[in-house]
Amino acid sequence: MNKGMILELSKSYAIALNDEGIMEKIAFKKDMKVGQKIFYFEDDIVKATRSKVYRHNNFIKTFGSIAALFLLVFTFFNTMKVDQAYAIVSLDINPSIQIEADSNKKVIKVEGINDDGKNIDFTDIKGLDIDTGIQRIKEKLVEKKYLDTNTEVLVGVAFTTTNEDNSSYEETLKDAIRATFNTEDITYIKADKKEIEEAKTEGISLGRYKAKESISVDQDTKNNIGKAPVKQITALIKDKENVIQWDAKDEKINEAPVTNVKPEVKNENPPTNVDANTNSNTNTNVGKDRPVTNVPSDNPNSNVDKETGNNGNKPAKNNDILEVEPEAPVVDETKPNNTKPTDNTINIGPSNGTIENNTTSSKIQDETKPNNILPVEPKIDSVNKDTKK
Amino acid sequence: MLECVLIDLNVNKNTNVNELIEKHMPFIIKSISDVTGRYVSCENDEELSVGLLGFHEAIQRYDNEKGHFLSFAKLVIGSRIKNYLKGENKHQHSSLEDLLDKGLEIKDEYLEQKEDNSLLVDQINRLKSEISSFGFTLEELAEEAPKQQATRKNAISLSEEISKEEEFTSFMYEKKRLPIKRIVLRFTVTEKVIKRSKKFIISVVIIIDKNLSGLKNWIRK
Repeated sequence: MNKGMILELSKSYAIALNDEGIMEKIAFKKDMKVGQKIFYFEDDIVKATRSKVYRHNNFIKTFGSIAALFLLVFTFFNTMKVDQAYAIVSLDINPSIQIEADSNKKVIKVEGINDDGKNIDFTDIKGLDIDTGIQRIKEKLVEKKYLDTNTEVLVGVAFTTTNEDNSSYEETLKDAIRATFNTEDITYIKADKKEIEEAKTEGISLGRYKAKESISVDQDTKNNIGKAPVKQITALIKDKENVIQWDAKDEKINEAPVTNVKPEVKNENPPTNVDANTNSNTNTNVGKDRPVTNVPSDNPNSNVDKETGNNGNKPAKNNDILEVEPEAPVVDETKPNNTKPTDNTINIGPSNGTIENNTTSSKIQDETKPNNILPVEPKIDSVNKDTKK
Repeated sequence: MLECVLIDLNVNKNTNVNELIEKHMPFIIKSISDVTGRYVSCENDEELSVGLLGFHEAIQRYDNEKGHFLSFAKLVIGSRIKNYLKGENKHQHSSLEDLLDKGLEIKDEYLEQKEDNSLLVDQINRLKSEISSFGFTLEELAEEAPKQQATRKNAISLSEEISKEEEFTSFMYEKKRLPIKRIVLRFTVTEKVIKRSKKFIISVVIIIDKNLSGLKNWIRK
C-alpha cells in the first residue's frame, strides 16, 4: 500500500507522487482531484508502456475495422448496382450483341450472343454511357468489316422494370441507335421483361426472339430464326406491331466498301456459296440449315423489293445505289482493292483459327447477298414465290 | 471475539486490538476501496473511519464457525460502508468520535488533518508549467523517474546540492537544460547518473528552488 499525492489527471490514469518520491501512473477512479492524497495499491499501478502500446493498437484496430467495414459495404453496394440491368438492348447485324445498361444509362455488360459476337472483345465498352457505348460497338464492327456488307440492323429493346416510366429512357436509346447506325436500315422491336429471360434460355438475341414471336411462319423457320440472317428477319417482321423501321439516311458511305468487295465474291461465286452453306452447317450442326441459307438469299431481295414498294420516300435512292454502284467501281477497283480487303479479313483473326473462319464466312455469306441480288434477282424471286406458295 | 480472530490469523495471542488494526490497515483500505470504487483519501476520510469501525465490529462478532476472519471482516466492512454511503446525506456525525469512544487509537499517518488543497494544487500547476518549459510533461517524468530507492535518494540529494548553487540554477532556467559537465566536475558524480534521471533532477531542483513547500515536504518524507 502506498500513499500518493495526485499530480495530474487524464482520461484513463492519474499520476501520483508517492511518499517515497516515486511518480507512478495509477488507474483512474472516480472522485479524484489534483492535490488529493490517497492510499493506493500495487494493483492500481498502470504499466505505462503497455498501456500506451495497447491504446495505439486499439486506435489502429478501430480505424482499420471501420475502414474495412466501409470497404465491404461499398463493394457490396457496387456489385449490387452492377448486377441490376435496367435496360437490355440487342443488336443483330451479323454478330448478335446484347448490351445491358443500368438506370443511369451506363453500359454494364456487353456480350456476343452468336459466335461472331463472342469473338469480339467488348470489355472496354463497359462503364461507358449507352450512346457512346453503341458508338464504340459500331466502330468495332466497322473495324472488323461486319458493316461493310450488312446494312440491316435489328434492334431489340426491353426494360427490366415494368412499373416505371421508361419512355424517356427509350427515346434516348432510340436516338442513340439512330444516330449511330445512320447508314444502316434499322428495325426496332420493343420487347418486355419476360422475353429477356426467354430469349436467354433459347440462347438467341432479344431482337431475334421477339421477331420469332411476332411472325407467323412455319415452325421450321421459327426454329432457325436464331441463325437466320437479319435481312430475312427484318423483312418478315416489318409490318408487325411494336416494330419501327428507320431507313438508312446515307448509304453511300456504307455501300462503297461493299462494291469493293463484290468483284472478289463474283469471281468465287459458286465456291463462296458452298462455303456459306458449309459454314452455317458447322455453326448450327443441323442439316436444316440449308433452307435457311437459301432463304436469306431471296429474302433480302424481297426486302429490297418491298422497300421500294412500301417506302415511297427513298426507294429510288436505295435502288439506284444497289443497282448502279456495282458496275461502275467494279471495273476500276477490281484487282487492287480486291486482294486488300480479303487480306485484311484474314489478318483480323490470325491468332485464332475459328475467328478467321467465322468472320470470313459470315462476310462471304453476307457478301453473296448483294452479289446475288444483281444477277440472280429474277430467279430468286421465283424461288421465293415458290417457297411461299 | 478477539481470541478467535487471533487463532484464525495465526498471530501472537498477546496482540491487542490496536496492533491488529494497525497491521491490517492496508486490508481495511483495500476493502473500502473495493466497495466504493474510489481511492481512499488519507485526509481524515469518513469512509476510513467507517471502515475501521466495521473492522472493529467484525473482530467483536467473529467466531471460528464463521469461516476465515478476513473474508468475514471484508463483508462486514463492505456492508458498513454501503450503509454509510446510503445514509451519508441524512445524518452526518463524526465516526472518528465513535472510534475514540471504542478506545481505538488510529495513527496520525492515516488521519492527516485536512489542509487547504488550493495551495497544493497551485504548486502542482506551477511545477507543471515549469517542466513543460523544459520540454517534458509529468507523464514523461513519471516514466523516467528513478525507481530504485538508492538512485532516487542520490538524485534528490544531488538536486538539493544543485539548487544551492546560484550559478547552476540560473544556467538551467536560461538554457532549459542541466549544466551536466560542470555538475560532474563539481559533485563528482558520473555523467550517466545525471543523464539517466535529468528530468527528475530538473523537477526536484524546480521544486526546491521555487519553494513548492507542499511537494517538497511530500518528497522528503
